[in-house]
Amino acid sequence: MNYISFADMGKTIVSNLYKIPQDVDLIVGIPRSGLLAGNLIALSLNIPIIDFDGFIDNRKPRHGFSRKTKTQISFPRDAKHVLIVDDTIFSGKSLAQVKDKIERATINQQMTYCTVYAAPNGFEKVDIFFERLFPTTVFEWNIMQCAALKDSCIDIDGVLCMDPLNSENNDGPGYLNFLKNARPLSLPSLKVGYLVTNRLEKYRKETEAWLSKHNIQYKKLHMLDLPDAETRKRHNNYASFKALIYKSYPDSHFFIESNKSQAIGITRLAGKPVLCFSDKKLYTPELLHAPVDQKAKAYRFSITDKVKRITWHLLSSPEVTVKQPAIKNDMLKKKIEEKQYKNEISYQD
Amino acid sequence: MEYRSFADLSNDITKNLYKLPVNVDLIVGIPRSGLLAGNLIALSLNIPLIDLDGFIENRKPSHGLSRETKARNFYPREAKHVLIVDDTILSGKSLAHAKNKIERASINQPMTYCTVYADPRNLDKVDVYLERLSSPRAFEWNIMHNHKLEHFCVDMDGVLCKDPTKDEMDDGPAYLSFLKNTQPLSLPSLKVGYLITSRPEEYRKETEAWLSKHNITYTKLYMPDLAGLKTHQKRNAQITFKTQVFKKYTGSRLFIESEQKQAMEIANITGKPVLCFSNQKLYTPELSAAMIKEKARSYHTWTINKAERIIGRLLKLSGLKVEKPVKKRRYAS
Repeated sequence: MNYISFADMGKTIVSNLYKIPQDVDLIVGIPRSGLLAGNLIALSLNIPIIDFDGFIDNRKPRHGFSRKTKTQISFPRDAKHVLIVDDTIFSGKSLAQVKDKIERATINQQMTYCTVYAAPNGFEKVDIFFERLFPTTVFEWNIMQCAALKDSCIDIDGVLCMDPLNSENNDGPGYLNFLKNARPLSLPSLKVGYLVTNRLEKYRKETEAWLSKHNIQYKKLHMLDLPDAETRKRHNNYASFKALIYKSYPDSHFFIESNKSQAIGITRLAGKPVLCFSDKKLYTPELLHAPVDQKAKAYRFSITDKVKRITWHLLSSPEVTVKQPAIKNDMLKKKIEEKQYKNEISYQD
Repeated sequence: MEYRSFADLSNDITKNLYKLPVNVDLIVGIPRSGLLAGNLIALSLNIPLIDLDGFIENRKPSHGLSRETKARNFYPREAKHVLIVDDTILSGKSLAHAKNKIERASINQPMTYCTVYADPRNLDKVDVYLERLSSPRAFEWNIMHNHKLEHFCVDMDGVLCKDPTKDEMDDGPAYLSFLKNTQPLSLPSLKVGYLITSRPEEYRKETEAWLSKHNITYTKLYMPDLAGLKTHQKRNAQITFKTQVFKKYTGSRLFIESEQKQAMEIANITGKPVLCFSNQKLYTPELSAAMIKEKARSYHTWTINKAERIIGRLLKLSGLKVEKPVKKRRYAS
């Protein structure tokens, strides 16, 4: 699974600006995510932008109050070369609709179709694309609408609703009020798989009421079965509970978690990818191995170093006499002398 | 100097969504950069988005073909709470302009004015802001079209045009064709201060031709004289050349450099901010080692002087006759 955030898209756009023809003097964005991509292109190139409906209706493109655009055109029909931008092309279906609409409006202008990402079977259908897409990619802007959600595990606090404030998180009336009126954050539009939360089992009624109030459909709701928040704090195993449930569903391929350290913990324990909602990063088991390997290597060096040092100490002490080739001893000695010398230098600096 | 990239904008928005009013059901973006910020908010909350003109004319917000927003048939006047978004507030002029426009259209709906970044001096002019940001500041989406560009030093390869590939770096016909036909990357729309490139002086003619072909105006173009240098010497010569020129112009407040390592080194040596274009990060002198060393040294002499003065006073009080210590001169920067 791959994940693309807004920040990733911004980087892709800025580094591929040279692919855009130089005589383009109007950008048309296809709402809403294509408008975002188009807006970033328009700002970087300082070209007017208009949304798709505005282009069809020949509405005047607006620019900021403080800045003038490089090319001044009063109406979209005056543009010499129009760039039509969408974020992704999958099958080309939505592009065909766009083309159809333009044809029906009988617009005859030089037009180039451009998408930021192109799926393997769609990249021939656009004129320009910036990056090829791997299969099974999820975007930050459609994660809550994608079909993969139907088997996935999702955290509640920090994903579906805002996290409780510290003052609300007191296991008392303030918390009950939070459970009732929690502010929705990202609501899924399809039926989701399993909701896995660290909320306590005794708040199941309130949680289910909140979920049905916001029309969230799900297969099952898993809650932590502990008597109170104090015990939960003492146990301090937030990640392991979530990881256990995530592991028990073999066809569940990703977990959306709000907390970064918990996301890493779940990835490690369950061995499956976890998307962290707060820093918009996908943690995969392969990714987690890299720092571990590095640490292991560092430990190996420090252990061999220590062993070398101890042997040298033993060899150099007068009480113990060990038969050891003299040359090796000298080598070790030399090495440690060098090290001490280096240390002295670094202290002087 | 503060700098925010597009990635920073998206992070700052998602981090601070809780600051927005609860019942907002329509986002209005002030073109163009306010629309960008508004679009990010609308996508994160899955709320319809419209630009300022569309809001005033009561046009139906358009939505994607693949995705359903909360309401399909929805006109701006039906919204219960409208959030009007701009990217920054500096003087409050452009927000006042928008307010004026809405008032003239006599729209009476619950409205909240929101900016992502707000100058600490003008916090009261906006209802909600997501982050404080003091000036001088620059943004990824307007750095090349900013009126301050006149005072900036700008690198060429990797900023204005694509970096040459390894095959093109042959000092021969391939390099010449690169100089002639290289693709522009970010073209400034205003006059640039000083172009400082690491291209050798002997290619000045070709470089100037490329610049005039793409209508880039500039105060001066600096090119280093690298004749007779070996490849490993060239890199150091390029950095010293860039730092010398950047240091010379005291009014120049920012260097836009393409390579990260060079950006860090230039910031270290000159003690002025350098923007790395490839990873969109600002390397400020506050973080540079040169600054810290200098500060440490000045503290060092300051403490010694203070100690000497105190000891001198104590000696005076005790009535002993001791020769006055020679005062150490403060570290001259």
